[in-house]
Parts: sequence; C-alpha cells; structure tokens
Amino acid sequence: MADPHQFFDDTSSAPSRCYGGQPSPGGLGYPTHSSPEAAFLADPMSNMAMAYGSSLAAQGKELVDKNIDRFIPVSKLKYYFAVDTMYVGKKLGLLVFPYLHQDWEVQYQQDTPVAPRFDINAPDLYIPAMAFITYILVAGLALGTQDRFSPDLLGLQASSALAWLTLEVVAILLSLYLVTVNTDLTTIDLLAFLGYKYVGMIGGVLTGLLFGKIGYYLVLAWCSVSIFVFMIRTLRLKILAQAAAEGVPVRGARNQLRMYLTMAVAAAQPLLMYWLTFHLVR
Amino acid sequence: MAEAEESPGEQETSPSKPLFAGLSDISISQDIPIEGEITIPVSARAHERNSSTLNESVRHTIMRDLKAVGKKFMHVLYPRKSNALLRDWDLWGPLILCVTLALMLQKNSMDGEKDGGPQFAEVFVVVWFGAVTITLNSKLLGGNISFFQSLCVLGYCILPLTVAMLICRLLLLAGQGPVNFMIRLFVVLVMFSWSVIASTAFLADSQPPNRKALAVYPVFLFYFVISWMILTFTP
Repeated sequence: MADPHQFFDDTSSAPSRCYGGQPSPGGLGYPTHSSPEAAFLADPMSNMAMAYGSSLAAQGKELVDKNIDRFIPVSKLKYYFAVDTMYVGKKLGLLVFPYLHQDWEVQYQQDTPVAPRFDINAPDLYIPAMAFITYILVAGLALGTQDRFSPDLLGLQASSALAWLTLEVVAILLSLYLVTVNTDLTTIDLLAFLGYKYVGMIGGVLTGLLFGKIGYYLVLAWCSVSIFVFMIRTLRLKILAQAAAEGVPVRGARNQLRMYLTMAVAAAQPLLMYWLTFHLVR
Repeated sequence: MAEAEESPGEQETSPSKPLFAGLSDISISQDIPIEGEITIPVSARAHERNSSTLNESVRHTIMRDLKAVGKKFMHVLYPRKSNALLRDWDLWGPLILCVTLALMLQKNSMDGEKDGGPQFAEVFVVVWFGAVTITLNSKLLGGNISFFQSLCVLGYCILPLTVAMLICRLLLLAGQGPVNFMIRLFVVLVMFSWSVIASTAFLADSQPPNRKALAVYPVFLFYFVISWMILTFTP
C-alpha cells in the first residue's frame, strides 16, 4: 500500500519525504502544485494525527463491540426481535384468547427454531419489552389521575416490577435445575414467556381507569385465566417434552413433579398480575 | 487513486504491482521527458477545508453550526421526504431543545418538594433514555439507520412539543380554568401528532413495510410521555 504513495509523493518538499510511506487515508499522499495543499501536506503532524485518530476509532469500536457481545449476545437477541406487525397482532390475540389454538409446537428448520415472524408459537422479546414500558407509563397515568403521582414513584414501579421478574426467572431456573429437567428452555425464552403477563396487566389497569373497579376485576380475571392456559400449553411442550410429544398422559413420579412445576409457574402469573396492579386502581 | 497522465513509455519499478501490470512489458530505447497533469481527488480538498476551519473565528464556527441547526428545524416543521436530517446529523439541536424543555418544565423548588412536577434532571433523563431505548428497539428490529442518526431525528422532532410548551406557558398566564385546559389540550394534541408524523416520516423509511408500525409504537409512547408532562404542568 505504501508504494503507490511513494510513487506519487511530492518529493519537491523535503519534510514530507520521510512520511511518504505512511498508511494515510485517501488522497493525502498525492502531490500538487498549488500552495495550500502543499502547505497542508508539508505538515506531517496532521497527517499522522489523522491516521492515528482513525485507527484509534476503529480499535475503540472493536473493543466496545467485543465487550458488549460478552454480556449481551446481540445476535441471539436479534432472533427475538425478528417480528413483524402481523405476528404481534396474532400473538396479542393468542394471549387473550388461547382456547381455540390447536398446534403449540414451535417449528424447526434444521435444528434451529424458526424466526418468530414465521411461526406464531415462537417466543419473542418485542412484546414483553414494549408491554413492560407501556405498563410503567400506564402506572404513571393511573397514579396521575388519582393525584398520587410523583416521578420517583414511577421509578419505584419500574424497579419493583423488574425485581419481581428477576425473582421469578431465578426461582424457575432453580426449580428446573432441582427437578433435573433437561429442556431447551433458555433464559431468554423464559424471560419472554414471563413478560407476556404485562399485556394482561395493561388491559386490566386501563379498563380500571375507564370503568372503575368492576371493569378492572373482570378484565384481570379473564386475562389471568388466559395467561394460565397459555403458559400451561406452552411450558408443557418445553418441560414435559418427551411425554407431551408422545401424547401419553403424564404418569410416574418424575413426570408428575414436572407437571406440578409447570402448574406452579402458570399459577404464579395471575398472582403476580394482581400484586403488581391492585394498588393502581382505586 | 488519482489519474496520472504520464507518457506510456515510463518503465515501472516493481513489476508485481497490479496497477501498472502491463507497463513492465514496454521498454523504450530513448529517454523521454515526462510531463503531465496530476489531478487531485476531491477528498484532498476536503482535508484542506478541515484544516482551514481551525483558523476561522469562533463567531463564524458558531454561526455555521447554528445555521445547520436552524435548517434542520425547518425540515422538522415542514416534513418532506428529504435526507438532510439523516445525512448530516448533529446533536446540538436536540440538546438545545431538551434543555429548553427541561428548564420550562421544572417546578419551583421553593414551594416544597412533593409538588408532583418533574425536576430538570428527570426531564433530561426521560428524554435521552427514551430516545436511546427507541433507537435500540429500531436497531434490533433490523432497521438500517445508525444510532446517532436516530437520536438526532428523535431529538429534533421534540421541536413542536417545545413550541406547545411555550404556548401553554403563555396561556397559563391568563389564569387556569376548564376553557383554558381545553385550549391547552387541543394545542398539545396537535403538536403531539405533528411530532409523531414528523419523526415517522424519517424513521419509518428505515424499516421494511411489515415492521413500520412496530417501530413507530415506541415513538408514539415517547412523545405521549412528553406531552403528558407538558399538559399537566402547572406553574
């Protein structure tokens, strides 16, 4: 790369000669006859500084990318955001009315699960993330209409909801470990499934704001039952994989334990939904 | 690489260079004086411009940046299909708007702490973290817009809401009442939809058509929060 620059270098001015071999970007090495450019080129420090700066920026970007990749697997996250509007609409419908859906199996394509865009049964992180943020904002709205709002209460809501979510994830992972279930349920999958209850919570709080306590209890009850059924049907395929795949009824101590675990996880959802929203509706 | 119009008889020193591959086969028995024109690529002129901006006066630099910011304000107020906001992004405009909004929204700390209004820092944090969240969401959904471009667009589209804040403050000088509230509600609604439409015009283009609504929804939430803060502001 240095040779063409050497060839085109302006050898008429002595100081720039020694920097002719620099890997400088673009057209810096080209000789000219007009004075401003020659004066610029004759200043080797800016030449070097620019090269150093651009290499430093490239290094910095690499470092940041590598470190971010260590903590948050960005490529895996992208799978969970590969959604489109139709998927979101159908999934929201499924969350409030899962009774007619027949096939809950996630389709696979050569060992990797298909992207959520193509299969409604695949978990995604867009709905849980947006539902969480909307829940915080709706909580702020609810508190505001009751004149109980202050910005730190919003932060309190957010952190308490996050804390409950973390607790849930840790408890379920622990129990899965204790029951020695070998399942392909990853942590992010679990996070996605546990985040689906925020949709019901938002519906409950909004109805509570519009129609009072009766509306809130009705919608919450409906969404609780739906999320219970949804979780049972989804987790059954993940935790009780072998038994469910064969279609035989669950027998034996090990399978019973797994069944109880699934039911416990599913039953915890309505409880948490009530716990996190009842103080918002008066 | 620059075009060097030299006489084709010039013998190349290293024959392995692909650039002058064919020249090594040519040899001429007599000396030919070399003369010609060497043209400079555009990038060298850009470097020359950069070096000369170091020498200009401070007022000139500030005026140039302010003019760029003003031009982008015009683009936000009359949203057309143009790339100016995305191409030369800058964060000065969003900073000015955010600081103005936060200054106007902060409550008087003299009448007690539990007043229900936001502090300067809270508005600042809400705006910038909201913008960062929307950008992350947009990037994870697979949009082809860069991080800072998205921040720039979202920041500039706060302009209509800042105008709404100014109008609300002026209206509140005339006393509070239900009529006053209705007018303020109307103004804030109009400016809110203007903000959402303006930012959608820029951001939605970066997503494929079946995901536009998904990228627009958090933008809607973001401006809704800011409008809510403006609407519930009482001096």
